[in-house]
Amino acid sequence: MQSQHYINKLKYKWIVIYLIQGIAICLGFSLLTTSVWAFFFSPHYGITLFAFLLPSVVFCAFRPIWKIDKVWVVRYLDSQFPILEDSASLLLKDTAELSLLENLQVAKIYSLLPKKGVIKGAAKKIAVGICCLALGVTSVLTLGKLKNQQKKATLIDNKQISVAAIPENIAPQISDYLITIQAPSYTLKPARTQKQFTLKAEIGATVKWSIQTNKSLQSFEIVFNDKERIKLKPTDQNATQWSFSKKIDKPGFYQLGIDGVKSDLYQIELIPDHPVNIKVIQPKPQTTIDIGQAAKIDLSTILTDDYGIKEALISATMASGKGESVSFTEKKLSFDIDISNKKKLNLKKHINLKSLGMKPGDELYFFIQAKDNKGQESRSDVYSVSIIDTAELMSMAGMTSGVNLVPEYFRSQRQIILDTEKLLAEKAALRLEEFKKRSNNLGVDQKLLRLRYGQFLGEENETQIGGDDEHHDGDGHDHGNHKEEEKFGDVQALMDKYAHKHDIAEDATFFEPEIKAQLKAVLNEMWKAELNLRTYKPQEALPFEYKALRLLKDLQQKSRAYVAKTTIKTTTLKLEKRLTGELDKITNPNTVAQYEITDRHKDELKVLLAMLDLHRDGNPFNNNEKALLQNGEKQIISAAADNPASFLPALTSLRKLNSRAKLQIRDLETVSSAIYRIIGKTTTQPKAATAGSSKKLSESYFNNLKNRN
Amino acid sequence: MEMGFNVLVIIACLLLLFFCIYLEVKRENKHWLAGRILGNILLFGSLALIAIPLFYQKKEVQLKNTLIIITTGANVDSLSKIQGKKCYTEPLLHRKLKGKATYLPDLAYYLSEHPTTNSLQIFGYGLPEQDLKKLDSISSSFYPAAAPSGLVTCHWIEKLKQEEVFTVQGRYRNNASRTVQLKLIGFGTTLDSTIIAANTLQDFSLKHQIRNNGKAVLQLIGLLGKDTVSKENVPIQSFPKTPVKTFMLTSFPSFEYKFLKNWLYEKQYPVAARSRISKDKFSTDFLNRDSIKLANISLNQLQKEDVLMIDQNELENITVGTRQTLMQAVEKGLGLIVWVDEPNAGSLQKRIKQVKNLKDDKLLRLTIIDQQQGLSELSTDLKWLLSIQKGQQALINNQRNQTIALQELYGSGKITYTTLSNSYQWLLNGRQEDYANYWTSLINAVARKQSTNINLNTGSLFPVINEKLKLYLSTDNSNAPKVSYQNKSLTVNQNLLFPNHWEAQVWPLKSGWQTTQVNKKAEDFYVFEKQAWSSIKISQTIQSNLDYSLKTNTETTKPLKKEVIYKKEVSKWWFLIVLVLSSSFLWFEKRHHAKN
Repeated sequence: MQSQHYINKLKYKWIVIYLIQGIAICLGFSLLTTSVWAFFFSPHYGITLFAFLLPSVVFCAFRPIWKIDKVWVVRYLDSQFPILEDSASLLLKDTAELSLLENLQVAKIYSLLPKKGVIKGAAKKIAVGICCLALGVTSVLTLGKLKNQQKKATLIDNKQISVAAIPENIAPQISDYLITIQAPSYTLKPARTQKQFTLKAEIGATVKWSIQTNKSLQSFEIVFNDKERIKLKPTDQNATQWSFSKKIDKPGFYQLGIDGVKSDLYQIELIPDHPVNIKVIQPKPQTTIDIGQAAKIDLSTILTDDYGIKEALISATMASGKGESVSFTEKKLSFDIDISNKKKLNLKKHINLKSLGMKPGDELYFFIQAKDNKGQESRSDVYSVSIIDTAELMSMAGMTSGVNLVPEYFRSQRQIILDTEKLLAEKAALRLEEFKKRSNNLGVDQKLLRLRYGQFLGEENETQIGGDDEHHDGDGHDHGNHKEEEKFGDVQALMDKYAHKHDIAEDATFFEPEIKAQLKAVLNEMWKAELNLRTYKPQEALPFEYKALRLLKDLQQKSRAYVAKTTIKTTTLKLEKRLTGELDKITNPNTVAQYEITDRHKDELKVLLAMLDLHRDGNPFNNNEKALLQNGEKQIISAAADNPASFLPALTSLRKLNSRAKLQIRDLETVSSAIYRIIGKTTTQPKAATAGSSKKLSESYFNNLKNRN
Repeated sequence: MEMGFNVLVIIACLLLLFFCIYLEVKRENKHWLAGRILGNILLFGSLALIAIPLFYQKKEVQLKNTLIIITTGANVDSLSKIQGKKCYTEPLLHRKLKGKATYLPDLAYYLSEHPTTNSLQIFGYGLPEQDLKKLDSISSSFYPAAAPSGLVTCHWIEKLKQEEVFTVQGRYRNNASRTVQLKLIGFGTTLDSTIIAANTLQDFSLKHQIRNNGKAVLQLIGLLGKDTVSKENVPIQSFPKTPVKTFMLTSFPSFEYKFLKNWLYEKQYPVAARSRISKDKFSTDFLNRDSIKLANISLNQLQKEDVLMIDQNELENITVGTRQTLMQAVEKGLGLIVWVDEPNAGSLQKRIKQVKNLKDDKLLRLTIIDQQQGLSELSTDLKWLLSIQKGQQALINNQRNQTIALQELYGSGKITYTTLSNSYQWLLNGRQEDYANYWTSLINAVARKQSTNINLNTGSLFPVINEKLKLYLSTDNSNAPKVSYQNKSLTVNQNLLFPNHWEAQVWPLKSGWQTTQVNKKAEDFYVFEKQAWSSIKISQTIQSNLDYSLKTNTETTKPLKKEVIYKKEVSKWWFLIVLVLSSSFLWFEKRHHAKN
């Protein structure tokens, strides 16, 4: 009985395994097929079902699950486990029916029935199934995403291209027509057709009109912007097939002239192609690389274009040298990425300045240049990177000449830098305590230096950096009453603003506020350097020390002015005329000018606008008014040629007004609105106010009033 | 006759009653005898009363000598609460008030017929103004109805110059619980719009720069959601602008001078400009005009100019005689603009007071005070400001409300002083609009006023079709103008006080633009439909009635009350009911008895 149970259990195990495998395979196949189908065509559930059923039938044909019964299990056991001596089938037989021998055999093999690893190859089978399923799922995800992207792209494209379906009036002679728009090849857009005369095409697109008429025509012409007339030639003998193609590169409108009768106006709108848009994320427009910092920059930029980017590169210019001996070297660096007509590029470039050959003191100017597949170039702003020159910073030049504000302290900052570098160089040879001690000592030196500079700013307290502009109550000197009103020309008061008067006459300083601000910045850097030195981090302190030195150097440079020598040629003076003060030979210059108005259209339009308003009651125009209307039409035509979407309806309405006896309010309003927009806003202009009609009366009244007083 | 009929009826009914009572008494079965007798009495009593009318007396308190007048807008349902005799004067109320009040075709006539009536009580929107005028200061108390939603007041200037900004201002009452959008529409476009909050009385101001040359009718539309609640026509007329003749004198050709000269030149203003080169040596420009001699400036010359611009230095440089001539010209109406740059010096010292600009603003944000219009930022180091003296008015202020430019009256002319000397930077910054606004405000403030030959005004703000309209004319002399309207000449009345003011009457039979010929010159005015601006008219009616009642109701005495006794007939229906009930009782009794 127990053997029966064992076999049953085994049977169900196998059924479950095969079922899992089968379902996984079928599902995987079905998903794969569906996703591939959906990628190329529109998704269809019938396909999904079919793709599921087909492999399941095949699977069942190969692996008939329903055939897994006890006999199958017994056969499996016999074939897989030789230890059972082909006697597993005995386990199925009723014990009563077994012969003695058989009974003995059953007893023997029962104990030998495998307990572990009974199901051989099950893991493999399930793995195959899971693999199939995984394949299906990944294909659904990836292809679905791809499709979505495509869809979005096409949606955007469609949005751009699709012209809102405008009901168009088509001449009765036209039986059929088709307009093919072939966007320029660089856009990589396929040709599209439409059954609408209103066009919206990419700039440079070729538009082909294929028109079929229901009777042969005498003449067929196409009129662009009311100027350019093109006679069409029939493509068949009956003169019923007409075809014409044109490259569209400016917006406007057109009409079809069938046997001399002009059709409605159809607008042509252009989709412009913008040059590549370059957005630099990193670095900042101006980068300074201090000593101690790595001489490299990471460039990160995003390029976008409507149709595709053809090329992108970095144009770098290096400036080295000083003064008149500056030399420039130009280099083109490429992004090591395949650009190949992508619409959006996220470019990154690591630029090693040293490998470009840049030395301290050199500057690098670069910008990004990109070209789209139409050939339009665009470039980014210019970014600059400069490496600080240590040599100049450490040099004594400039200190020996010119105004020297604080010479003795300069050396100290330089000395601290030198000492720090020396300390760092000897670090390996020093004991830790010794290193710390020397670092701390340097920090003390830095502090002393900072305090010395602080005095320039009136910093008597140690606690604040340069913040002691305000005086404390207890600092023992009187600053006078600040609220006192300033007097013009009071030199002493003026000097007080700049000076810092204290008891020690030596320390009285006269600084511009700007210099004071920079001195504060110096102190700030010194403070940071001191902090690092005191915490035994001379390496970190070094950049701050350098920066402090650099700022000090700037301060020094500021106090000097340089005027270049120029050559000058003067006319020789007529000595006999000098200082006579005679002006009789000098004539009075006189200008008489009349402003010529070249464009009187707006004045006409203003009159027309008022006239249209008077005809709101529906009265027809008289001849004079029609002439005015025709002048207005010219203006609207030129406006419509530039901007068909907003002015074409007005032109249509204006022609209706011209031809119909009864005026429609709606047409009047459309035309008025267009003219109103063409006139546009003007700036205000001075004008005289109007007084009452009788001048005499008010004058005599005024005079009387005056005489009374 | 009446009496005889009544007696006859009573006798007949009594006879019948007695006969019936006799029958009832005689009946063998005495079932419900008393009830039957009572039933008979009631039956014949009510029968008699159906035939004979029965009256009762009623007392009512009425206001003595007071007439109650119901006008449109009054709540018809609550009329019963009003005590006293009610009447109405508007034929339009016939349908509503028939039977509830009496119609008075002519109130003034009625009042003269009834001299005892000495006070009125008016309900609703009030009596029309012409009716109020006819009332011989009879005291009235006015109970106004709630004013309807819509425009309460509205005003605009109908005659404008080219490029001028047209403004419609007014007040709107919105009684709805939603906001109302007020739109100014014209030429097929929305020119301006504003929102009136729900349940408010709000002022509005809509603006639009004139772009038409000639007449036009704009529309003021109130939209409640998508429903149009009001739609009114706003007629405007625009005329070509009158050129301002400018005359500039400077001590040296500054940028300010050069740019302003060119700007005026390009805007086609006649400009005469003179800038000093050396002693008695000048550079002169005559733009858009004929050249004249500018070495010596005469009063006659200046009288032909509208605006004179001069810098402070040049004002000092010119001779005392010339300066006097100049001020004389200003006294006679010439406008003077002075660029002030030196502090409290020279001849200007008496007239203006400069103060040092203490605040060191790098950017100047100016405001034209008159128009509450801000100008864009201007970088400048303005050293001096003006402090306003007696008789002076600020024109342009900076962001600290300090005065940059001011104006003052001088004789019949005006003088403007400005301390700003780099307004040309607006032009350099591409801010043409701000430059134009700045100089327009300065020049407009002083420019010599130009008088018109003929001025036509309509007597009413909203002339209406089929109503008498008064036209007021003013001309430049006291000769009677020839006025014709629809090819018929009109008689004009001269004003008693002003010899050049005239009055004429027309009766427009068509709405829309109307033309009158005044001395062969066409003058237009607009006539509205009857229903136009109804909400404003209602508001005006309410106001004039309130004014009238305030004016007449000086003593707040309570109106005398009197008791009026009058007869009233009892309805016959009551007796019919008694008749039916009593007869049905008798019938029922008989059936009931028979059953038993």
